[in-house]
Amino acid sequence: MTPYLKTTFRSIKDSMARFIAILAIIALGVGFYSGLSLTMPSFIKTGDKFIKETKLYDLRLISTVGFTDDEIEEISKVKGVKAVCKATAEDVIVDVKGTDHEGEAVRFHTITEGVNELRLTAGRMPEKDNEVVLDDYKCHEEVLGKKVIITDANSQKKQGVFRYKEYTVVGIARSPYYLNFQRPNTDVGTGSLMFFVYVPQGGLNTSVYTDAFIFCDTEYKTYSDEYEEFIAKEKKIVSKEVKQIIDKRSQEGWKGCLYSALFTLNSTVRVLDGEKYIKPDLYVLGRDTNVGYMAFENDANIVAGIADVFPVFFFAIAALVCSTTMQRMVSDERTQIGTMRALGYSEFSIIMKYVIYSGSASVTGGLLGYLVGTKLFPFVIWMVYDMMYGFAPVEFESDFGLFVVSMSVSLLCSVGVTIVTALAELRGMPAELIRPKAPTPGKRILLERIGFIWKKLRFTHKISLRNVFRFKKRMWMMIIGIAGCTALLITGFGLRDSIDGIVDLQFDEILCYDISFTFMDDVKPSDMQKVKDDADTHFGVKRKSALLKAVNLKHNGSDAIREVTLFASGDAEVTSLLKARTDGNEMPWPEDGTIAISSKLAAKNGLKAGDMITFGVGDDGQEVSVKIGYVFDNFIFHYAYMSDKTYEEVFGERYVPDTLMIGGNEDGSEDVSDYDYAAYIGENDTVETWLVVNDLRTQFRETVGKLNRVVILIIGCAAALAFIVLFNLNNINITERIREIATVKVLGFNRRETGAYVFRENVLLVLMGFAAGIPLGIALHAFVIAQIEMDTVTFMVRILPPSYFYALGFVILFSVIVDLVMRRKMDRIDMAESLKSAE
Amino acid sequence: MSYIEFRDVVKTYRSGTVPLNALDGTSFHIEKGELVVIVGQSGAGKTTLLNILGGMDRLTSGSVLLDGKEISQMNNKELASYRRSDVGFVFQFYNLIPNLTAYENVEMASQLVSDPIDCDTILKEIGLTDRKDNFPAQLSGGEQQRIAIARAIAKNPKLLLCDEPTGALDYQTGKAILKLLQRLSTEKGMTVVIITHNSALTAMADRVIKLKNGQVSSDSTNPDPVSIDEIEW
Ligand SMILES: Nc1ncnc2c1ncn2[C@@H]1O[C@H](COP(=O)(O)OP(=O)(O)O)[C@@H](O)[C@H]1O
Ligand SMILES: [Mg+2]
Repeated sequence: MTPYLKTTFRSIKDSMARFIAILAIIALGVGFYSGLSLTMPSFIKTGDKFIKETKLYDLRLISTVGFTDDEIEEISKVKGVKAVCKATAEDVIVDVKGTDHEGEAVRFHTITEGVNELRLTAGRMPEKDNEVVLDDYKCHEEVLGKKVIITDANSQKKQGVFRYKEYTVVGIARSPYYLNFQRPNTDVGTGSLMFFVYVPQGGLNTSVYTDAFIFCDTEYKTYSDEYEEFIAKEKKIVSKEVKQIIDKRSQEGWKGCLYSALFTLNSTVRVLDGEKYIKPDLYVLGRDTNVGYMAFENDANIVAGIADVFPVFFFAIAALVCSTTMQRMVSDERTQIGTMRALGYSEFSIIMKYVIYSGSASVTGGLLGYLVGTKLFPFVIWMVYDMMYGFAPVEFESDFGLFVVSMSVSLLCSVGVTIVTALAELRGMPAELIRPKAPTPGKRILLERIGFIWKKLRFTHKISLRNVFRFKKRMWMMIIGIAGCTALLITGFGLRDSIDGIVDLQFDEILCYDISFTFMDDVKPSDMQKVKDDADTHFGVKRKSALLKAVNLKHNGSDAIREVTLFASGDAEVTSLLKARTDGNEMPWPEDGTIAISSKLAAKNGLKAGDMITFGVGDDGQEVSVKIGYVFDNFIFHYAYMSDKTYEEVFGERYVPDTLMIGGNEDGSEDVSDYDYAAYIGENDTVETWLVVNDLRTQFRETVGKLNRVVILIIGCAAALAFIVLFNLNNINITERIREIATVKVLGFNRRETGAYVFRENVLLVLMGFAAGIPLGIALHAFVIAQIEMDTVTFMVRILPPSYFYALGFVILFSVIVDLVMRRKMDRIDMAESLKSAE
Repeated sequence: MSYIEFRDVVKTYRSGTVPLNALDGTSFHIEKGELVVIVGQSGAGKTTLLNILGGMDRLTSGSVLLDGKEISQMNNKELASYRRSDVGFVFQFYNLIPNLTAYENVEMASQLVSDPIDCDTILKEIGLTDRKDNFPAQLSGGEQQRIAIARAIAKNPKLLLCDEPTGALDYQTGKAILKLLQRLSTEKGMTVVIITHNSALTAMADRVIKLKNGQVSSDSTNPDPVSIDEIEW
């Protein structure tokens, strides 16, 4: 090895802490950036793989009259259709004998071939008609071999649909049809489905298959624009052709058709028994009506939103740290540089030494960061998501372009800065360089001119104050570094504040009702009231209630089409169940002739009180316009309120309530569970469906909780970053002042005093950095909130006081740890050694 | 018993491939108020000796006593307080704190002890009263060294240790510094130890210790020290 290489490697060895600091910060920057950037692609890849392997339907056909085998045969010949399979589903109450699944509402799906294929996680697929596979997400292996029993709680008619009274569980499986944890609502039992059951077609007595699933086997990546484009085209083709196919039969009449389709709030399609003969309808639906499929993309996007902002910040800080560190190193070794110059080494070869130093640190760090980051982030976040999805182990995506970009940025931060600094130093002549650079001279600081303060200060405090301002560059680096980390921490904790409260606010302060019942079309309001009174009597309570009409409207905004739920009511009690607040002030129910709309709907369309708003009603292009009375705070979904009079005026039809909302007991006591109460009222034939708000609340809490965990990950990274920055800056601080520290030690400063001599200024710098980080954090927080915004969920842009304290706590904690480590380093400073030479 | 006793002191450095005895059974003694000059070639172990005497370094074996106190047995904390109250150091490269003014550098030391010498008095004595508000970078080498001496004596130490105090200074300036040190010894009765490789300086000392390869090769008292003004080299 040449002496040249030896000095380079020795430089690394002698300044391991510095080398590792650069390595770590680059690793963290690259890891964070590439990891977060690739998390969403990795998720999409995971989803894509699973969806392709299990052949999730591309199009779902729903015919209110069902599909015949001949029709299916014909549909399979339509251009682009790879496979098509008819299907039906039946909701029913079952017991799984020998388990704690008792009296649970489940959905029986018929097994489809070539589309929506199941992935078994245990057991086998059914071979006989009385064998079933169960939902892996909700059931465990204990159900294998157990019997699913269609209970007598089901109506005779319902029981008639099932060919067997008992079905044997032979397997548990994941279905691509249910990508996430959510199971839809139902009109049986408590209203929420507990799990799905897949049964061979022969297991049901159904004669009418209302659904047909089409699989196109496209090459396009799931969720990609190409796919969307393709499917839009395919949808047109299929709609046209299938309509023709069905119309052929329509001439034969519709005898015996008892089905009507109904869109529910979350766009899943549910097929309900109706009592009327109705006109046949055909719906062609894409995957965008599948809750799991859509939620998956949404959730992946949340991470992507975060991935856009934070890494930039990380890189900025990494660049800062690298540049200070390398600058320091080059200045430290200026005598050596001079000597090498004097010996005749070229500028190039001298600079190369530092390039090799910082280059090897950042390349190693970058590589390490990329390798670990692109695995760790998707993996950890997938684990977080596992509770909601977990249908397959995560697939890791890699992106060479991204690697090159992050590597280039980190090389720029390290090697680039090194070259610039070294060149600046080299400009001096060798003779000049060999002489040690005069230590940064002391200067009077501004504060000294304010005599009465300065005089009062203790001597050691004066030193610290002067030191803070003496190393201007380091001061700025430290302040910027700490400010950046503080901002990250505040953002992290603030995100929690913004996210956490909304679910409770929404369901405690805005939607204050506990249960809502939707009645059949022609039920009289007095009968609805009677149903409620009857329940009150039965349970011996008196619960708040109001009658209203719920209408799903569409608002065609400039940026998006939004689904808005309108509550129209003339019930005086309604304001105790649906609250409206504007800037914290409770508002009355909107005046006649006006509508109140929720905040996001207003904000996104630039609407305010006094403006007109236009909604689309139904699918046939009908529109209504109303004057906005006021805008109220709202966090989840979009809502609008109006009076019954306004309703009649605007819709031109009589106001007939169809929804009964139930609140808490009037006296505030709590003795009947919402579920019992709902189930009791649900027994009435006149009730179509019901919804217990608590379910909604749980569902949102889970969504929000998931976001929170991502946030925690970010806080963790920010904390790691803060630590490295602090460590590195302190390390520099001590290294460049070893002589000074040795001097005060010789003078007889004891351990504590020596520590204070160095660290008091750190405390000052940390506090200054923290103060500077607060506004930065507030800005970053607002920015991130804007990035992760979802249309149906509004986060509060708020940071609660404790969050600032937590952030400060972290910064202080790290300072203390670094302080302790550095104290040990200071203890090891050898006085005799440090003061020996001129340099 | 003498004021300072060095008994069979061995200091072994093990950083190289072979252990090296920088001090190899060094023994001598110094009386209170003496001006001692330690001479020896480069590498003889002078600095090592001074560092051990000043409580900046530990010895490998032997013992060192100052005024009856066993320095060689002290722990870090005791050593710090020993350096603080009993010893004043003057280095070849002044080692002033760069961001403190001349006055503050002295003040810093004086604040460490309970019975310091008044800073203004010292500055007057070393003749730098008018430069007291200057920072080290604004002072010449000689001036900086005078401040360093002022800083050392501000603590009113029992012992003033100077390691080649004139090494970085020109002839005249160096002479002025030595004169200051000699005055401190004669007028204030301070015990002063000066290290040098300049044998001519032995004439000014009360005691001359010659060091060679970590051992005392000669230890003699000078009954008739001359003023530094009379020495030429
Ligand atoms: N930290 C050390 N590690 C190894 N050897 C050292 C160390 N300090 C001094 N030495 C060696 O000890 C011997 C005496 O050094 P020193 O006391 O500095 O001599 P002087 O001051 O008389 O020139 C020298 O040979 C030197 O190389
Ligand atoms: Mg020496």
